[in-house]
Amino acid sequence: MTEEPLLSVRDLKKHYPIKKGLFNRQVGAAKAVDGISFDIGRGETLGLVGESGCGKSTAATSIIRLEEPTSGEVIFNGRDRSKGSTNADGVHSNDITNFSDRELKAFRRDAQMIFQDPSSSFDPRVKVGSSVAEMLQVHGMSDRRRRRKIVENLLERVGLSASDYDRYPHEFSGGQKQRIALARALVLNPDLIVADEPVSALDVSIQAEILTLIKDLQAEFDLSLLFISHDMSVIKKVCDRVAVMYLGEIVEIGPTDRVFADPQHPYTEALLSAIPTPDPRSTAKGIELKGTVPSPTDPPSGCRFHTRCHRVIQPEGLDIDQSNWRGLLTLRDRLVAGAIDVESMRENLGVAEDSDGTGIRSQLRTEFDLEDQLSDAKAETALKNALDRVVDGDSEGAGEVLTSEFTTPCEETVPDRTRHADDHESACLLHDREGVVTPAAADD
Amino acid sequence: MATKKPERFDQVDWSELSESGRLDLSINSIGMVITSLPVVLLGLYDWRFIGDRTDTFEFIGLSRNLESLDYFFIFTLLLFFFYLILPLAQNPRMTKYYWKEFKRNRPAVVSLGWLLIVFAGGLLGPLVISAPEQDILIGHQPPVFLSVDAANVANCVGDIVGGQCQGTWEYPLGTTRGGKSVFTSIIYGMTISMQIAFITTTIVAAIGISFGTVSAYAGGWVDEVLMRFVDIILSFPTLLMFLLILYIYGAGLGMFILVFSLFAWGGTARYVRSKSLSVSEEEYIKASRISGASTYRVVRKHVVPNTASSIITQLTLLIPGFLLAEAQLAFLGLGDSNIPSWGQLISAGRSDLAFAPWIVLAPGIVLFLTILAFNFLGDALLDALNPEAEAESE
Repeated sequence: MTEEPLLSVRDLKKHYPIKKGLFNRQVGAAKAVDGISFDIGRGETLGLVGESGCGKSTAATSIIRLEEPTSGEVIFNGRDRSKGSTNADGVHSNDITNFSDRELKAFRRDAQMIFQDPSSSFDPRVKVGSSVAEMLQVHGMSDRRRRRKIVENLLERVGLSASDYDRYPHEFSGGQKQRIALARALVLNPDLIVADEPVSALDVSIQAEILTLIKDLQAEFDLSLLFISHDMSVIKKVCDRVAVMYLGEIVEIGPTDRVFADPQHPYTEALLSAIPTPDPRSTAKGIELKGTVPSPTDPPSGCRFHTRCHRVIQPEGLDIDQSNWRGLLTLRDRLVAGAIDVESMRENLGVAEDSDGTGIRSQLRTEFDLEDQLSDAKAETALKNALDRVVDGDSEGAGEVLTSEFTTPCEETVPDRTRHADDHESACLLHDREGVVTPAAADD
Repeated sequence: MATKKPERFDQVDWSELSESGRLDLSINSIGMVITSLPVVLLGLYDWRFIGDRTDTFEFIGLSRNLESLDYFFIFTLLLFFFYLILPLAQNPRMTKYYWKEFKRNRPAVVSLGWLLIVFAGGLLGPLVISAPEQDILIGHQPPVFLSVDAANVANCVGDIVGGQCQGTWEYPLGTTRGGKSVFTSIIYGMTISMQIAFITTTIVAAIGISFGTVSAYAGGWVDEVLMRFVDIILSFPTLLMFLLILYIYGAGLGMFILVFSLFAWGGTARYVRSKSLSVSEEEYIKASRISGASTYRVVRKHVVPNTASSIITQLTLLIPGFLLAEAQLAFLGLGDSNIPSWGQLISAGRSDLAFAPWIVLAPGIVLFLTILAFNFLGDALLDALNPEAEAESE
């Protein structure tokens, strides 16, 4: 390791307690961020990508300590802190999560944030110039004229004019407001900027302008960026490295070009396939992820992605078509959750033509991508048995049959991180199986 | 680009700055401190160094005395000037926008005019016109242009035409039984009404905003305790409390203002709490928290100003209640009989209602108009300052 990273996040967790009852007993926790680790080097841009609700923004606010993280370390080696060391009791001296109020205030000068919604990130009753200048004032610059000069200079630098100082937020367009937000984040001359979906509320044409501005400023002031987005194409434009997040965990992390060229995690594959390609002859079909992100209060066991994964592993001894296998598991989960209402299906079909339940059977098979006849005889018997029970109105029993018959290793084993190349890692059981060398947990 | 001394954000030496300049007051606060200092000193001088019977301004040869209520009134006026009027002048474009919105409501503009008259009358009147004096000989004089049966008037100041005593310009609204000029009494009553309006508003706003924001920001059991306390305040029988205090300490105007405003902030506190809760969810609050600003600063600079529009409206609608309460108590004979309030005047005239109705009607109409004006003003402010309406109009 030649150079210390600017920021290293180690096993960061943020759980929101769920309290109930008269005495506010904690009955559970929403694990918004559940143990993420990554490094950001000086001048580097790390993209954090994932669908909404996966904990990206919580990760950002916890890292910058806008919210108190539940556990984990965030070590920041910016400005003059480079000589950090670990104390006797195992607390790193540069650990943001242990900063006192005083240290935290100094840290605010070194790390700033840009928010998603430009329309609500400025106080509507304060002139934008004053909003930016407030940062300087908070940190002790009491010379009003000097503040104004600095801010006016900075406004020009982000592509606005000095006279915009005295205008109110509602007099600007979204893109202009995001430029001002950038000025506000820059004015304290930080080392790190956390950008929480900075362009997703903007038009595509304006997105490009803002992204270019961010890149220019980054190069000029040697900024590190944590760039959060749900849009893979935006990530591709700005990020040196990318971390893919699913349900509070990082499932794949690596250099942007390598992740885009050779995604190792099925979830990354699915995200990448959602980028529209400009080639009309391209026949590559997008991978459609079914269902929604499971609730972070009760994340799925094993690999958290197994409930939606299109490459979910089949148990030993079973070898059927992958889409059939996915369908079987989905059917099983839906039955166990009691989410299949046979009565209403029957009503929709009409009783007369479905006295023996063939209609329901075939409808279920179509809905869950199951062939009329599974290629594996044993599996087919179990499925038939389950469908019979469904027709008899015993959904619970059907679920039990499928549960006892079909299980995937994905729901039993938590995948370790697999290292594919120098700094390209992913967490998927497929790679354990393929026997890729696994040095597992990242060493500091 | 500035060539001589470039002021750029990346060339700031923070290590030299961060410890200096702790006390960073705005112009408004500096003005407030500078102007209220003499008032405080005068108050101390009045309280400590001169006797109860000596007039405050005797040292410069003026025979004017200031009560503790007057000091408080001056203080609130300064507050209003530096934190309400001056900011409006400092942000002319925002003021123009509010005025444009406000202007749409014609009755409110008329109301504002009327309240300005009452305000100016209350503030300047007593300096120009000498206090109404008792003169039993000229009791029951009718208002100008009106006349009354000469038999009811002991000594008619104007002409007696056909057995009718004519009113004169000397007493434009007539006189009371004791011979006090009704007009002068109304002018002096304006001072009382303005004192009630300003001081109660300040007390209610101060306590309500502190309770509301602390409650919203502290959360947990602090929130719970404060809000239950608000429930107690809201359900407290203020009138009974006032009667008790009246029995023990006597019924001064100061006591009235204190008791009634100390039991009136409950609604404001609740209102401020719910408003602050919704404002504190906004992203700009996060943005200012991440600047490293203290919670106090965030609340003071961003949360309170953004709840201010609703608070101002709510307070404006509270004032009529206080004015009415004062008049009612005075009418019942429970008020401070030493002050020339409108309520006292009405109460003084009720026995002569049969032949001298002006004693009751003149202050009654003024009171009615003032209360109506406050209500109109509150409604118009709600429309003009409401941020939601503002957003829709864009």
